[in-house]
Formats: sequence, C-alpha cells, structure tokens
Amino acid sequence: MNSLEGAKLVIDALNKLGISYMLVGSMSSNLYAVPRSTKDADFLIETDDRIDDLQDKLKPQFRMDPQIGFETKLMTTKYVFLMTDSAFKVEVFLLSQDDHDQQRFARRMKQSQDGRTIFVPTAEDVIIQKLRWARQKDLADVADILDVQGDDALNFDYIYTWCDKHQTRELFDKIRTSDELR
Amino acid sequence: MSKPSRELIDELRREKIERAKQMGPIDRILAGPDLFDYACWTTMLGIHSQNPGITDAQALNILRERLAKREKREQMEITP
Repeated sequence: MNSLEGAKLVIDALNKLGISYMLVGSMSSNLYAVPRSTKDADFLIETDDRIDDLQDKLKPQFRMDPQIGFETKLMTTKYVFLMTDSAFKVEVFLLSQDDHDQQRFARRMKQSQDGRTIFVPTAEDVIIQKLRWARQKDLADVADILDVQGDDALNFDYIYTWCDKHQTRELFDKIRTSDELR
Repeated sequence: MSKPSRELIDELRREKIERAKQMGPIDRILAGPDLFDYACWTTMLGIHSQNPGITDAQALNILRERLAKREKREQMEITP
C-alpha cells in the first residue's frame, strides 16, 4: 500500500468509526493553496476514547508508536501511526484547550468528492495556525493560500482578530505585501 | 544556465495556481501523499543506486532516516 492509499484508509476509518475529527497540517493547506508533497497527515480529534479502535482499523497497514507523544506548542497529546510499506506517517492530535484550537475545530467544514468526505478547517483558520508555526514552509503556504483564494474569499477581520491575540499581525502583513513571497 | 526571469517565475506560478483552482477539493488534499509517493519512488531509486544489493526494506529504512533528519531540521527552524 502506498502513501496515497494509506491516507485514504485513515480518512475512511475515522469516518466509519464516527470519530469527531478534522484534517490539519500541510494536507489541509493543500485544499486552499498550491498542492505540495506532504510526508505526513495530521488530524485533530475531539477525544481519544476510540484511539484503540482506530489502531485496530488501521492494522496491518499502520502500526501505532507505543510511545505517546506530546505536542509542546498546543500542549496536547499526540498519537503517531507509521505506515509499514511506506515512509508516510499519520499524527493524531487530541484537541487542546487552546482558544484557537477550540474555535477552529468548532468551525470545521465538510468537504466531499467522489463519495469520500473529509472534515477540514476553514482557509482563515489554516492561515492563523500557519502564522503561529511560522516555519519557512508555513509562510510559503500562507502566501499560496492568499494567492489561490484571493482577497474577496477571505475574512480578514477574523484573521486579524487572532493575529492580534497571537502577535502575528506584523508577520501576516509582511507576507501580504511581500514581492518575494507573492 | 541563465537565471529564470521574474516574468517566467510569475507565469509559472500563475499556471500552478490556475491548475490548483481547477482540481476538486479531495483531489487537492490527496495530492500531498500522491506527490510524496512520487518523491519517495525517485529517492528510493537513488538509494538503491548508491547501495547496490540492498533490499527494498533496507532502502526504506534509509529513506526513513533521511526524512527523520529533515523533520528535525524543520523543527529547529520553529520561531519561539
């Protein structure tokens, strides 16, 4: 099984188990930007009550790392599933108490195509989160989202409200006006 | 080889953006692992070429080690 099939397997398993989830990370920004290669799929789940069921459903194509991780930026638990036939990885984060984490999960949307459904964050919430991480690739993703979505499709008031809370307004304005990035 | 002009870079970017806009939502999402599969396939060819006689499983381990190193470098780039 390759990474593409592995990603589909995880999405379908989350839906079948009825787990409240949302796709986050680079795969979610691909929805709003210019798609790029992603070596992992990141998901946010509301509770980890059914993590063992998910583990069973993904066997034998995935094995769960027995060591439960911790995500230090949002201070939350992280479960890592490694694909056996590929270098692809799935990271499942437990919804944290962080205000924006709670809000982006509450605002998540359903996307469907060809009989498959995925719950995703809004474009604005992807931008807000990418600005918090602020790695080179995150900033490039923000510029791509702005270009692909266009100014009319985005709620800038909402983005700036969170930027002010996260002190990322200056960074966001820099990307919006940058000739290098856009 | 001469450096590509700003106009050429902008034109290529516009093309990429137009292609992205024409894709379905799930196709855009799943393009990530699909492109990763292609990247891994070419890297695995390189690993096999550098290490003649190794098995696919050994090559996959080398690929995983390289990706882990890259991830570590990306993590170190995080601004506080």
